This record gives sequence, structure tokens and C-alpha cells, in this order.
Amino acid sequence: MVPADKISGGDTAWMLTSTALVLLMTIPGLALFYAGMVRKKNVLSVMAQVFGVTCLISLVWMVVGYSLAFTPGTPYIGGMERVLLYGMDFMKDAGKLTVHHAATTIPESVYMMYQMTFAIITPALIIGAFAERMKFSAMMAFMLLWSLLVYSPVAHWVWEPGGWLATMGALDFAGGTVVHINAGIAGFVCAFMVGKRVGFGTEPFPPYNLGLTMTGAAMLWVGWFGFNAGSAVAADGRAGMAMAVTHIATATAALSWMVGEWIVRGKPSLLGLCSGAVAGLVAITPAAGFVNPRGALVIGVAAGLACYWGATWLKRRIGYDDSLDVFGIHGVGGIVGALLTGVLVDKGISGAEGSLMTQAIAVGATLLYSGVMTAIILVLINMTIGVRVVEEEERDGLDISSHEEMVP
Amino acid sequence: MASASEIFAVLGRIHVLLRRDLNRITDIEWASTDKAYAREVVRLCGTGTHPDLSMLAAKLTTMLELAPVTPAVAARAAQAPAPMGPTTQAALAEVTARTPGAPRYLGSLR
Repeated sequence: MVPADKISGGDTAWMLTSTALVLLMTIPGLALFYAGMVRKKNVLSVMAQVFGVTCLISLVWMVVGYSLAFTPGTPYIGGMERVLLYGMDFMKDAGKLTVHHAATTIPESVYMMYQMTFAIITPALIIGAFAERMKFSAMMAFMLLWSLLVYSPVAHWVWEPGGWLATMGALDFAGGTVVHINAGIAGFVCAFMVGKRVGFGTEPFPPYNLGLTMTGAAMLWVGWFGFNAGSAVAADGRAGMAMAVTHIATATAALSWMVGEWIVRGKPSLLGLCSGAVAGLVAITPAAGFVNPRGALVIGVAAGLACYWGATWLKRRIGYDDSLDVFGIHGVGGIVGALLTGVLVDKGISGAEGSLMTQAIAVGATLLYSGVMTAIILVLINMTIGVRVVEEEERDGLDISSHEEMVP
Repeated sequence: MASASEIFAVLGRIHVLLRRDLNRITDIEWASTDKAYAREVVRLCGTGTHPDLSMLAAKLTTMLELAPVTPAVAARAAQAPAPMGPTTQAALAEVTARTPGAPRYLGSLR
């Protein structure tokens, strides 16, 4: 509990704005990005899943997720001091309020809300991997368990000062491991275990409307300024630099994906430009508070090409049906960004020193833990309510079969 | 005439049943605005085996105020190629997929 005059109005205003920006990334940014890429008969189902996850995780975070992630506890998981947000106080008459020990210039309520938006978008990303075939009920049950058993622990490891990866010195400014590698490997496991869509590889699956996808990608780009620059938890020069490197890496990655696709397929595509931009956003996420603009250029070039490879050659080589390339973009992009952070860190910006080995340990730990836990959760859900719709419902489209709605 | 949402509801149901029964894909948006195309959809319903198709076809005929198809008209329609509505993305992709060297959206989105 601190006196209210210890709070910075500038920092608080920026963090309130960043919170709104990051929430906008999910609804409607991610919803539009994904909806435009699925077949017409599944557009509304994807949107419903993203919206449903937003509502569900908001509640989960408030009840216990925030406490598990952001209270001291042990190096592996937080405690129960903030269950139902008890202890997070604002007392107008006394002129006092609580702050989080990692963000002492803003109210704890703002910090909690900001972190909530990260907790929301991370599981929402996974939807892209099993799109067009998962039961809505199974999806909601999966997300609830995944948020508690995977997201909160990994966030605690990396972002709570006493977390074991934070203590080791792993650098993850805004969520390369916590968000993207985490969601990416979960998507990979889901795609494998849920199985391929009916007709995958033998029938074309044309996207419904890439105009929606571009609209969503644009919202993601702008919203990501809140994601990365907001992770400075201050309205200062570090936030400004994070915004700059985010933009540079994104534009560069979009162009490098475009070049790669132009060479391989003979034509650039709107989907390629959008995908490359998202790849750049993903890869710069862990590095945004640690690298300079030249480093951002390198990350952008690498991310565009690596994620193009991940979403095309690697996916075909392994032969799994990750509907919207969650692993190819978020998994591969997150790994590239996390490793390059260790190489390109500019000590002058943050005072931090990078280590490729430490970054690799963080990457490996996240891949292993998230992958295994995702598999266990899916097995549990499949044994109880079943994860997949029946073939007839899948052929009819989830809009009609799961929601009795359709796009005219 | 019935409301747009009522028409879409019936066309949506017909769309699903024709896909399941005859593996035919229809453009419900076009069917709701083009009577010739809607009549062809009604004719297709008549060739299906699902018990609801004839009922839905009759409903659609009433809703869109389609002229009843006489035997002579039906005979001509059977010989003439089916009227094609504006090509939907799905139809375009199917055509593209059959074209050699154009495996777009087959096995991969990107």
C-alpha cells in the first residue's frame, strides 16, 4: 500500500491506454485476422471462440490466475494472496492504493488489467491451430485449464522477479516465451492430437475474406504498440524505443516474407504481407526492450524468412494440420526472437546482458512444459467430453452445427 | 413476401441438405436474389432423397413467389446447362484446384 501521490499520472495514463490497445488486439483484431482465413462455413465459429475465450479468461484471471502468476510464492508458481483480487485496494479517503512490486508507479489495478489482456490473447492464439473442427464446449474447458496450468506458471517463471527463469537472467520483454512460444507449441500439440480436418490435402480450403484478415492484421500491428511499448510499464524513453523497434521489425519482416514468397511462388500475396508483419511482431516481442533499431532490422529479416519457412516447408514436411499456422508463426517466430534477443541485446538500452544459452534454456523449458501439459489437458478432455465434432457437423460447418448461425 | 432472414433460414437448410445428400454446393446469397437460380435450386431439391427437401423447396417457392415449373420448362431446363450464379470463392477454388499446376489452398493456407 502506497500513498496516491507516489503514482505517476503519465505512466498510469499510458498503461491504461496500452491495456485497451492489447485488448483490441484480441477483440476484434485476432478475431478478424483468423475469421478471414477460415472457410465461409466456419467464420462465425472462430469469432465466437475468440470472444468466448476473452470472457472466460477475464474471469479466470480475476479469480485466481493473476494470483498464481504475479504473487511471490515459489520460483515455479505464485501464491493465493490475490485470489478474487482480495488485497488489491484503492482507498480514496485514505489516499492510498496498492501497487505491484514490479510496477510501483502505477496502480495495481492497472497492472493487473494489463497482464489480464496478455492472459487473454495467449490462449486465444491457440484457436488458430484447431480451427474448423473443435467442439466449443471442449475448447472452453481446454482454455480454462490451460490458462491455469500452463499460462500462469510460465508467466510466473519469466515475469515475476522471483520466478526461476527471471532469476536465471532470461530476457523476455513482452512475451516471446510466455505468449508466443507457449501458444505456438500448444498449437502444434493441439493440431496433432485433434487431428487433420476432413478433406485436408484433398480439397481446397479457400479463405473466406482476406480483407478481414488484413483489417485484423492492421489492428494487431497498432495494438502491439501497447503490447511491447506498454511492457516498459512507463511512459518513457524505453517505451519509445520499444515502439520504434517494434515498427521497424514488423515492416521488415513483412517485406522479407514477401520477398521469400515472391521467389518461391512467383507472386507476392496479401496474406503473405500480413503474415510476415505478424511474424515480425512476434519475433520482436521478447527483444523490444533490449535491442536497438539495427537489431530490429536483423530480427525482422530473420523472422519473415523463418516464419515463411515454418508455415510452408516445415508444415508440409511434418504433415500436420495447423489450420492457421499458429506454430509456424508464433512458435517459430517466438523461438527466433527469443534466441536473437540473447545475441542482439544492447546493454545501453536496458542495462541487461544477454546470453544465448540462457535464452535457449528458457525456450526449451517453455516448449517442454507447455507441450506436455497441453497434451495431458487434451487427453483429459477427450476422455470426458470429447474434443472434436463429428464428421457430419464438420462438413456442415461449425457456424451452423455449433451455433445455428451463418454468414449470409 | 417473406423476410430476408426467413428466406436465408430456409436456403441455409437447403444448402446443408443438398451438400449432404447430393454433394452439391449452392450460393444462398445468389439464390435469394435471382429467381432463375432459385428455381434451379428448387429443381435440385426434387432430385434429392432427404425427406425435408421437398417441403423446403415448396416453402422456398412460396417465399420467393417463384412461378411453378411446368413439365415443358423442366424438360428444357434439364437439357440446358444449369444457370451459374456469381462464382463464389468456394466454386472458384474448386475450379482452380482442378486446374493442373494450381494447388492453391490445398494442404496449406500459405
